[in-house]
Amino acid sequence: MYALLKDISDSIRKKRLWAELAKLELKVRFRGTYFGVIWVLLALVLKVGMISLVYSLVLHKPLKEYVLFLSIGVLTWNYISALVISSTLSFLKAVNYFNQMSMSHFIFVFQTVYRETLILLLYQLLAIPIILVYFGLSGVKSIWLWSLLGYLLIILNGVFAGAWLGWVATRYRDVQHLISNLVMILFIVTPVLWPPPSGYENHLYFQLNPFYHLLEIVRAPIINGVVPVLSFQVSIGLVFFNFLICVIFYKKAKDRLVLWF
Amino acid sequence: MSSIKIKNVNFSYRYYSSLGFGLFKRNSKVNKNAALENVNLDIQDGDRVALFGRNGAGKSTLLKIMSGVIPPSSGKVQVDGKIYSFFGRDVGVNPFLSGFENLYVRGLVLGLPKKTIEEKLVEIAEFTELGENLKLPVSTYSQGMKARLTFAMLMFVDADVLLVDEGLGAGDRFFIDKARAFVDQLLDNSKILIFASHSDHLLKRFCNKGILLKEGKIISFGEFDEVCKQYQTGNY
Repeated sequence: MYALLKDISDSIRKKRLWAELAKLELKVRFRGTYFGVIWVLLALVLKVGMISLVYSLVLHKPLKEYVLFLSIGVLTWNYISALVISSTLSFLKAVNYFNQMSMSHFIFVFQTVYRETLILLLYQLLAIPIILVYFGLSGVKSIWLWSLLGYLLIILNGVFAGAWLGWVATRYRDVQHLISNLVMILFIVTPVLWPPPSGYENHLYFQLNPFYHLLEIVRAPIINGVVPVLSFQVSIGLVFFNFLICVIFYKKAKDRLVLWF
Repeated sequence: MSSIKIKNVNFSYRYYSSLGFGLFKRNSKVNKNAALENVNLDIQDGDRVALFGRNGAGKSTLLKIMSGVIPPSSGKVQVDGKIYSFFGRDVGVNPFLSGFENLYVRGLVLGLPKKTIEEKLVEIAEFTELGENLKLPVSTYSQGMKARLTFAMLMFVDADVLLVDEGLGAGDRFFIDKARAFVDQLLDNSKILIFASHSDHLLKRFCNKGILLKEGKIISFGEFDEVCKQYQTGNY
């Protein structure tokens, strides 16, 4: 475990490197486009706009209420799923660095998490106006701060789960394909577009889905004005679980990662 | 004081012959390919060592072991001093980013402070004569310009042990002379250079000692001229 913690602290010290790499990555992704990084926001607006028009009809929900529910759900889901999917590439994309010199692994985990968090911050340009329009300035509640804590827990899970996913996906290339398919299926079975049907909120089908809890810790404080205690407990438990997996996997991955490329 | 000590080092690349890639133990025969066998070396301050050997003799593997990129399968590697490794021609250059951005990232990889990097960038722009071109994406560069950019990455060096695999044969004849003068100045007597290249000409310019490798074993280690002669005759 000591070696893992050292890797993490060495990587934190290289924060200028992973922050720069993350920013440059976004720059390259949107190079040559007219809107640049604003595309992140445009894609979200399109998604929320189209889905809410149709689904508010399908689910018999008032449009205003549904837009609020959907936008927070979709942008949080986008963040979580992007973390999971791009973590499988964290190390594979850094092959040039690993082949050049011995590097701390978490530099590239942080790069992925930081990049996605920058995108998440951009998403807020849509979310904050929607929330303010819905609740009004006087409706701002202190309980919403729990959502920030929720994001923090997602970030921690993103770091530790991202690291072990990155190692596994480098060792077994199938994992990358498996994950991207799984995430698509998870999107359909997790209550992102629809709230759990009333009376079924405590159904094991939802309670056993960790992604449901990760969504709820951000969504519930804002939309329902309550702190979802169980979801927070599960999310904290997940952080420990993912950290433990990291401890176990790091022993194997530390020296051998470069041989897996 | 810098030194490299290598004791009884073995290294073999392992690969799986089946499509299962070791996922299913039963049909995954691990094949081993010994890249280095029982290597012993003691390299001291001021040694500028050329690595001789045919393709696949183990030159790059030896450099990677020294740099810590790959751990030896068995044996001990001890390097005193700060290492700078420089392998291959396109060292982590992202073609969609500008020359400046690529160089800046390189500086960050080495953990240099922002101010030092910016000062170096001015120096590099002047030295490589790339000037304004450094603002353009690397994908627009000619081969010669790319070679100069690659060499420029070496200019961030702040290390005691330099490990170089190819990459110094950069640019046109005039630039090579310039680059040589720079490397000479870089390598004062307290530094170690280990240099692998297939150009005997380049090796001769930079090195005073030589190591001859064959099939992962060290055949000889000694003065440059003797080892070079042995390599060229092919009788080893």
